[in-house]
Amino acid sequence: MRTLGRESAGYWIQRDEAASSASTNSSPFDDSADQKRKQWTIVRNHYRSSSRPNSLRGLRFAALYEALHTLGTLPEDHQFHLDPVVAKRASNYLGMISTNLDIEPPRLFPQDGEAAVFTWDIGPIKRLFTVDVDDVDLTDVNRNTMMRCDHELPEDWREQFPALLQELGGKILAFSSSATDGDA
Amino acid sequence: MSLWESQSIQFVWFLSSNDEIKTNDVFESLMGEEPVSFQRNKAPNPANPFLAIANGPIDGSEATLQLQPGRMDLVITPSASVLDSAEVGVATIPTISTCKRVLAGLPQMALKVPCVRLALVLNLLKPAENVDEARLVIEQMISQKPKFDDYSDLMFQINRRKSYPELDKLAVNRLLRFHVTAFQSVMMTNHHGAHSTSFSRENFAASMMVDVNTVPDGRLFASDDFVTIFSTLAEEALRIGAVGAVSALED
Repeated sequence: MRTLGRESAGYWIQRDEAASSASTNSSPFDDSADQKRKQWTIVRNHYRSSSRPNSLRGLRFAALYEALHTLGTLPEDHQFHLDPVVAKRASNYLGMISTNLDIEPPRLFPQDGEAAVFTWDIGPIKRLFTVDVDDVDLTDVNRNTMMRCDHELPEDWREQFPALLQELGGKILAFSSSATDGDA
Repeated sequence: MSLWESQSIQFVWFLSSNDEIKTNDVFESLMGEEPVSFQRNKAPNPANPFLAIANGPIDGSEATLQLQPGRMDLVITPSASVLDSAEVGVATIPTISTCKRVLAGLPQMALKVPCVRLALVLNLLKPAENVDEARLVIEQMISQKPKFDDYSDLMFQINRRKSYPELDKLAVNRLLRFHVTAFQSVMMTNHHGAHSTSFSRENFAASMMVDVNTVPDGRLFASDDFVTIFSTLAEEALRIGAVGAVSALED
């Protein structure tokens, strides 16, 4: 048998070409011989889609990974160029955010080619999470008063991760490990 | 209730970084065999969100290791030949032996990236003759029965955390989901331009998902921790699966 395609919706299509010219009117579900069944194309919802993100949230995060990769491949003189090392580092932080916190995907813009900035709108507050080549910053800006609040984050990754969980997510932690759920 | 067989079993490592992970090496070290197929993808996107996929047959089942930003999933399913066989309506894999097979490979696993969460998901299935029979099984498991029978789309989900003092108060989500699963197979004749004949068939099953996953609290798990934590998760998931009811969360 030859695999013709595996669609993103999770369907599996197979066809046996050698037997495709044969003809029969019996059902493939009858208890007939294998030789007869090879004339059929089988379309079945298969089981391997359970770890594929298919929620809108999951797809939006996937689009952000793609965008980061694209920014990292732009020429240095392009206005949206992003240092590839920063793009990769930002992807790691984004993966941590998407899989551990039940929060919405951020927006993204490159800053002078040297940093990736993720933003969220929380009422009048704009939250900016900036990732550069060796550091991260988390800042809240009140758009009405323009007051800024810089969150202190430890430099060491092992101390930084718990602080980030607290500052970014608070108590909004993921409770499911399925990639197909709304929080995936 | 006896423990059901599984539609799929999923081990998940939530990664602190995707750097320097060689998916095919991880697969071979964990499963003891080289993957049959391996794909890499530099740029994950909505249509193909994976960075890498390694796949191979394992003890009559099929193991797929998928790397995505932030997570690596090992999914064990029935083999492709069973799934695409016309004779099989609802295909399953043995639950206990499959878990043991993966747990046995963890000490050799070539994954050095610290993880922020670990999870084990059992998708348990009990095939049923029809949707009503499957629904009746679920009603008994959740101890809920409406006063009417003409309803559909039954689903029940509940989560109760459990703390493990022996693991430095590690908290674990125990998310249970009960529902009826329908499988549809459609088969068509391979005639070009001629009248094609199609047949479809539906199979039903009562489903119970047991998703035990550690609560992110800032700690990072090194490879040395994987055996201890996954063994704890497996013990709890199998216990809950064997009870087969919401009351399993009372412990």
